[in-house]
Amino acid sequence: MLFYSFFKTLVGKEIAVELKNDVALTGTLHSVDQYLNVKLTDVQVVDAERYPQLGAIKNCFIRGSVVRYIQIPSADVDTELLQDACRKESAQGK
Amino acid sequence: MLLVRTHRGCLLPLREGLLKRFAPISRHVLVFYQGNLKGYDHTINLVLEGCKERIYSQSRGVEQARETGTYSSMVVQVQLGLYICRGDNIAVIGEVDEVEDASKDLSRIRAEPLKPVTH
Repeated sequence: MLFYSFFKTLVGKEIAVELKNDVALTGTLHSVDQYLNVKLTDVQVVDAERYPQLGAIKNCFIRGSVVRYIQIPSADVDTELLQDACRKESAQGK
Repeated sequence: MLLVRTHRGCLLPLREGLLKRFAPISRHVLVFYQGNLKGYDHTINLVLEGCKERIYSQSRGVEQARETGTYSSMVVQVQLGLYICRGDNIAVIGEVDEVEDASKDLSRIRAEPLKPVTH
């Protein structure tokens, strides 16, 4: 649940999501759920000419299982806090 | 609603039929379904009403399932009706900007095949 909480702190931020089929989408993180499914608003496809399929989409839902990477602005991440939280969670044996 | 799916099993019978009738279509295609979202559950299984299928390829224009039941040389028009799609096949669900979508000339769109989702 740690990364669910972590992504919740990023709501409203600009992120880029790379899918497991190499398609990448950018947009504003609207919401995230426990499966790390994400909802994006103001979606733009990276390399839109190559992927005209997604051209008419403004808002979208991405299934967590097809996400390879989520790129986040480094200014919005406190890596020390995240490391501490990771240690705490693993110490609890979860 | 628009639903993007990678090239996978459960729709093959339909696509085999299309391939027989309209031979020179690449097998590596992306399948799109467009319809009204009637329902879903926590695994993102979807129920789509008035569903249309779009097949993108490099060699010809978009093949789109339409309500009319007639077809031209470029656009295959098949109405799928009510469709239930299993969640694990789903990659992206997007809200379609219908004005922008309608302004596109589908018969001119060429798209490189998308890679399948590899887990």
